[in-house]
Amino acid sequence: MDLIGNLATGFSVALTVANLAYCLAGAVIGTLIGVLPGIGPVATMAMLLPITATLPPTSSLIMLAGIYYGAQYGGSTTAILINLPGESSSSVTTIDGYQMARRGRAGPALAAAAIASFFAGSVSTLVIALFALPLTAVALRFGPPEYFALMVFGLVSSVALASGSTLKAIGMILLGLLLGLVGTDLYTGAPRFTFGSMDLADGIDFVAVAVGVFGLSEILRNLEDESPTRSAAIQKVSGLWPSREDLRRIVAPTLRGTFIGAALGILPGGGALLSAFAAYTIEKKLSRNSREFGSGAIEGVAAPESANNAGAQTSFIPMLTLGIPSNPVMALMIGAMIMQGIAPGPNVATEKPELFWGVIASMWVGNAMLVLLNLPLIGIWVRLLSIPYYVLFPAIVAFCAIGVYSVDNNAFDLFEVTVFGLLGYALVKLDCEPAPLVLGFILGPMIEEHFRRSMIISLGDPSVFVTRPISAGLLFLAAVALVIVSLPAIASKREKVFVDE
Amino acid sequence: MITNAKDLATCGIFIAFGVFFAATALGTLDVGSAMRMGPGYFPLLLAGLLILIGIVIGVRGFVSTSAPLQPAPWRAVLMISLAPIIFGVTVRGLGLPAAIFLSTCAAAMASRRMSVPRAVIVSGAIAVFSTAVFVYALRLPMPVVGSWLSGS
Repeated sequence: MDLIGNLATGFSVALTVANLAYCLAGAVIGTLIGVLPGIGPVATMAMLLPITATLPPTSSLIMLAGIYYGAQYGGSTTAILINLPGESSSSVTTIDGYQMARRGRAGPALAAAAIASFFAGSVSTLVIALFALPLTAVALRFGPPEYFALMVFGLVSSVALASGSTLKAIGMILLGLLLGLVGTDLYTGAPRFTFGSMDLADGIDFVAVAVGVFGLSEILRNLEDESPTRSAAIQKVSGLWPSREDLRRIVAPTLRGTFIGAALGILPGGGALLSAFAAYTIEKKLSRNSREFGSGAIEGVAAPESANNAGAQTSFIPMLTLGIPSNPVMALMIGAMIMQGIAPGPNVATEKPELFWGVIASMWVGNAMLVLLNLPLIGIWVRLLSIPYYVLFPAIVAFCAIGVYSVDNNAFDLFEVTVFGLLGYALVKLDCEPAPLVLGFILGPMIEEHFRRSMIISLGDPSVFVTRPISAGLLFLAAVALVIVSLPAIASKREKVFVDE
Repeated sequence: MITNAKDLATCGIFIAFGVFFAATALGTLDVGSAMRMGPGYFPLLLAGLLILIGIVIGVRGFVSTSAPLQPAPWRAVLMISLAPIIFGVTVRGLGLPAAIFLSTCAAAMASRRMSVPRAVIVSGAIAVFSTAVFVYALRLPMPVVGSWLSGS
């Protein structure tokens, strides 16, 4: 069977000594930043992007992927032990995980999180392998109008699934698209919005935008309130292994969580956070032990942890098969591919099978490493939390500066970091989510190219987007999604969901 | 009057960017027609939509309320913004360790819990650490001693 052959190719790539080392490095860095609040996978990947550009393409993607799912694991550790989600996607885990820890059951909670995550990671690796080729085959038949419609659908659903005001998210997308267009026009060579600056001729540097909007503005937000919030009171973790009763109780929640996460992860804008929240809510309704939820139910740990891991992983599907990022992390992966000289899109699977399947196989390897790494080393991770923030954030600023500078050795990129840090912070203060802006920024040039090509094919007739069935269908879905999130009943419920986080 | 300050400010930012891009597109770029699009066509379209969204948010801002804006930590905003600029200006002239030291000192002073001696110690440690990791271990092409210091 093809699938087995492909996976064999993948594992032969992923299991080379060098790639195992990069996978481990990614997973360790990911866990580290997952444990540390105040620095997320996006800023870290942006920082390391220039360094990975010196590696072979497959190794660099393997390492970056490791950072992403490693952060999901790390985030849950602090969520359980000190009621502080290292990553936003672990925030639901704090509800029951911390309660378990307070009752001296931190060990089983951590083990349940690790087992559920590992199971979800393994299943979703298979899901990616199963779905990747059929989707690629469909995508290869896409013309410019279909691609345009697909990107519109992607951007709209990222709005639907983002928190906060729908209008503001649309505005952020438009602003991102416009900023993405700065630079030389591909068709005519005309410089756009550069004001004669050579530094802007190649466009605004993506790494600078990501570091500014996610790195600096996050630091500023953390510095708003400097009262010490981290409790050093960490119970000693004893009795790591869950009882047979615990294991029995987490089977069904893990299965359901994996399914929910895998399904939501594929959607643009979905990914880990929403998956975790949905899984917890559904589990609370379905579980026979729903009374225990909120006071230390092990199901309340297993369900969101399996879902956030599954969601984190299946969000690779649109990126690998269509070349379309569904969240900022995937936008960075695409940025990494472009820096390596690989054109993202459906051709990657056929032209670079060793890269495509190597990255997929490495996710399973990485998940296995994380289980081995996390459970025995919990003590070390927890000790990291005693590093005070006033030591941490200057180091983050320094690494950001070095990372951005090393892309092109150009000081101008650092000025862009400051500009986007300030813009990002101002917009966050006004309740505008930065993620849609970054998605728009990455997609800006692509969406314009497909728009212009479509209009050339159709001789200037915009109806081309609705007369071709696939394109019409995608635009229809986008419209439906927009209408649904604007309905007052849904809108108020949505607000409540994201407040509950 | 009941207004939503956050929405009004967002409206202002969106409209400012929209007008800026639209005016630049109209002023400096060939817009073309739907049949034969110039480099200015798509930006103009997007800028128009952005202005429209800005207006709607603005109108909504006059009829709703929001939680009051939390004051920004101005010292942090200033120091954190300066740090990348200091690094960018000095890295070639002073070399990586010195540039990191200066920019990290600035960044460190963003925290109200930071004192000058502490900032110097923290920044010194970060400068040594990053030089070891990035220049010697990862071999990024960055000077340890910059051109201003080596006299070339």
